[in-house]
Amino acid sequence: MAEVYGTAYYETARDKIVALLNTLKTAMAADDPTFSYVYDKHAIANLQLNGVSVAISVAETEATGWSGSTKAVLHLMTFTLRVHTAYAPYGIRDDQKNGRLMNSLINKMKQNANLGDQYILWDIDSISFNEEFSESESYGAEAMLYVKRAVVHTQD
Amino acid sequence: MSVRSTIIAAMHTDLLTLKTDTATYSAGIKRVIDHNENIEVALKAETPLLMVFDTGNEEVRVRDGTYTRYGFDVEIWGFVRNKSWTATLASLSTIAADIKEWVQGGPSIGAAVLEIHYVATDTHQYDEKSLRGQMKCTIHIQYYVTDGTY
Repeated sequence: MAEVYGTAYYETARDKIVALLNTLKTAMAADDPTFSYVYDKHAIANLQLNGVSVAISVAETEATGWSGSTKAVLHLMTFTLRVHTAYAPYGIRDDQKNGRLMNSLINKMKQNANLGDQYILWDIDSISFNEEFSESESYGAEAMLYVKRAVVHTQD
Repeated sequence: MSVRSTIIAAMHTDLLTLKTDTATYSAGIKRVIDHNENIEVALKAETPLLMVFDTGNEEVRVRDGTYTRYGFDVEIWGFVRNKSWTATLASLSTIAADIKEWVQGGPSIGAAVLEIHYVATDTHQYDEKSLRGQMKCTIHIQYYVTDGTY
């Protein structure tokens, strides 16, 4: 697959979230419930439980300044974060387990909002606990993650 | 052999624990027979018996470009020979209970298996002439393979 022109902000933001999740996987290992597997996409054929996956959903930009040959742009990236606790269709849909795992994960992520390289985990909301995911044939919970990254684009 | 047929063969082997682990299982299973055996002859020798029957269905559940997850159903049949319809009914129910317990315990049927679930037990049947009772349990299995392996 060909690389994007210039710096890949959206994939980089996703990779930083995945790196944070892998760190939290270790930090939360003794918790109950916890997760043991991290995925960088939602279509997961070899999904192991309990798993956490993240994928980009929407990206918006806002021009915040213009000076000579540079333009300042704020990139707001929305990701969907999913915890997976059972396989569809015969697994157990445990909304309480989904809620507790997502709650723990959100608390930990908000304590690690500085993702580095000026990527900021700005907010987490729209949390739902009783989801069935067709991409991964699994049951779990979902939340929206918002990552901000200010970029100065030099004009050609 | 395919990954799928390897899993079914492993089921056949692991179901023998219903015979050997008398502390956990109470139906008293004597043997897991092959599906091409003569059931009348097998039942006259010993009872009750199990049989793993591959119905042949399978469907793709998830594709992610690297792996593919498949789901399929397998039937486990239980056979009992007894003069008493009441005793046969009780034995068939106990066989179903043992199969549920075996599934719940997480049997060893292959590293590619993601999950195994008990789905249903079908109607108990009794043939007075041959003194044979039978029923089947449907089991659902999901497994994954790396694309390029089958």
